[in-house]
Amino acid sequence: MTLLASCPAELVIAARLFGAGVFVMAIYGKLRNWVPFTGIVANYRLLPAGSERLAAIIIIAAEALVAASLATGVALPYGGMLGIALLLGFAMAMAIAMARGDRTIDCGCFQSSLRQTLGPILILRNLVLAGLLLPVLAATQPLGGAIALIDGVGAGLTLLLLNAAIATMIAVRDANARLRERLG
Amino acid sequence: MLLLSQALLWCVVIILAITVLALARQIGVLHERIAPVGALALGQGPQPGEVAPRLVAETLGGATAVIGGARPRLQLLFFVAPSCPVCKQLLPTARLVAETEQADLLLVGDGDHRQHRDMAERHGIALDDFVNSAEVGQTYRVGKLPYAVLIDDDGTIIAQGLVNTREHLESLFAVKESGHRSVQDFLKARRDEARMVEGIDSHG
Repeated sequence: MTLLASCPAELVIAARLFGAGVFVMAIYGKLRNWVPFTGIVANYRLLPAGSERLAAIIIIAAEALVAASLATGVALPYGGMLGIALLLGFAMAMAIAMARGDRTIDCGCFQSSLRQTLGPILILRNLVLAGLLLPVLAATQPLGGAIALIDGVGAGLTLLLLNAAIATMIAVRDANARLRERLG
Repeated sequence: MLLLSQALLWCVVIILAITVLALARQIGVLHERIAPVGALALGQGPQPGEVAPRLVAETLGGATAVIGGARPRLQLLFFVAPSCPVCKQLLPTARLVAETEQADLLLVGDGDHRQHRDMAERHGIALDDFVNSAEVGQTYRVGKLPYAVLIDDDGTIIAQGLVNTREHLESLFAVKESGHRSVQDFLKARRDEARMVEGIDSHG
């Protein structure tokens, strides 16, 4: 916690912007593909049958709370903690599904038009995303000067764009693997 | 001054990140839009829709194989040669596709009898599913290998073409299901359909 308390303002701003963006993108994707998303929640087979709709609503509501908290700064450490808990929870759900042998199901992560099949790389990505949210826990610090703001916004936006690019690349890699399999 | 250079630097980094994202998305879009490639029809010999010439040839096992004419199942002629590496590579796939689509697979070669026999034995092909006949290849004007012809159970040619992949082989069977003789036909029909709908919309 001492390390987090001395976290530079740039990192806090970057983490807040990045975290809010990641969760907004996740919510948008899930709402746009609502029916497939509830199916994906059911595919994980972690919840009793019939509760996938409720679980999907709770996931989206929790993500909305995190995004709002990170964007506005209201209840920040708690919003950040909830965000980290969600990301770690998703990673654990993926690990359980993979351990059970369900490697072909869609991860349901950002719900783009391209599927992302479960794999160690997606679990690693969630762990990295959770790590990038850590500076938010030190958000009681003052926001810093103009340079800190520019650095923070710049780094946050760059991370957000790179995260979207990585998500697309993972999906393309999976599409390539499926194509290779089909062509024998 | 420092503020400005810092802001400028981040702008450049963000533009770079946008470029990377755009590139990645373009690869994804390209992936989705690539139309499945079908077998290349060379436009020689008997054409799809025509009645397949009825031919009789002796199999490597000494039995008589009839090509064309009415039969209980589809017939897939697969033209191969012992010296053609792609043919050997595609053989297991051809057998699997024929089995899946419930078609009778007949391999057709043209050349040294002994080499064809060796090829059949090495790939576990029944000798009665393999004919060595120059006449069949000449009738269908086969110039390049591996080449495949799919004949319907009523004896008409469904599709034919140069095949290099499983997708090419499957495209022959897709002709029967879709009614379009080639992927180009299928895409053209879809374009025409879209144009017609546009026309109705703009006039209606």
